[in-house]
Amino acid sequence: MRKTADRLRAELSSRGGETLVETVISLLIFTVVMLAVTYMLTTSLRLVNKAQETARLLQDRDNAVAAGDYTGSAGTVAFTIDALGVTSSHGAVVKSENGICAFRPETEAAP
Amino acid sequence: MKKLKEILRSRRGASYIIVLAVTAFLLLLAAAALTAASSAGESVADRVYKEMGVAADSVSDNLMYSLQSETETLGPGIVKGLYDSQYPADGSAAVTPGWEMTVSLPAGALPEGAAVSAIKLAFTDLSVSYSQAIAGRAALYDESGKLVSAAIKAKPAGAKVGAVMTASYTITYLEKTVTVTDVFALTGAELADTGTGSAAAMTVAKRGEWRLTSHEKNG
Repeated sequence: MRKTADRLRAELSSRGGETLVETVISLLIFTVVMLAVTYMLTTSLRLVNKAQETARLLQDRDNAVAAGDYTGSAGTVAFTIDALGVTSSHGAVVKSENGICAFRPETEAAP
Repeated sequence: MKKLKEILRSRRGASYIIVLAVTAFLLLLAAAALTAASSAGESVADRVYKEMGVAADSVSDNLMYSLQSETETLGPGIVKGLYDSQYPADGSAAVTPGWEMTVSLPAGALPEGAAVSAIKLAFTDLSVSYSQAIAGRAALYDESGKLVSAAIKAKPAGAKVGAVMTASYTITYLEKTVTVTDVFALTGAELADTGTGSAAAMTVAKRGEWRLTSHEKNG
């Protein structure tokens, strides 16, 4: 214990150490590393937040599909070519295919 | 090498090793966070692309149905448009047409925020063959300049139309975009002059057959 204390005292009173140049370079390297790490962490945090937000939207959609909010609803699909003055419309039914909404022509969608 | 060994043996060497270890740890931590974020993003992106893939299949399905439908006007309208482009009533030069088609969908067909762009129609291998042409004739005037008989525009009594139609559009959802390219082949469409004179408009006598030959999704 005494030996350690003596050694510590000797080190603290010693004039040896890193030069100013070494210290500055070390600080610069450390700063660059810290900046890179901070950037990577904030980027990943932003990505995770975005992914979570998107996942929530998709989950809402999944819940709506599972609850049948859209499935089975009928509507109209219309195609229009203004240059020809042609509009074509037909009935379509929204149906669930593997948990994702698809809309098929009414006659095809009927069982 | 000798210098390096000296540094590593010295007390300063220990500092270097500690700094390196801390730096490596921080970098590993950041890399792990990025990997986790990337993995979460990929999983969400997969689901988004699945949604868009099903939407693309649905649009294609409905477009094919509309082109072939017996009661609707899309297929015949395009056939008539193709004929008119090759045989313009005003005598102007024939051009290969390209049209834009908008699509409206039922509520709930697409997720909120998703959109289908206008469908661009382009045609290749366009063929229009005429039959039983009615000869054209210039206007006839007498010596005083008085019109004796009006000009008659040459006009076929019938025409067969064939073409390859490329319908391309994009579906966007949650900042992702999928480009869809559908190729349809039109064969056997026919127009006929059902009127009594050369001024009568050609009408579609046979709507022909539309076949979906290719359905590609990129994104």
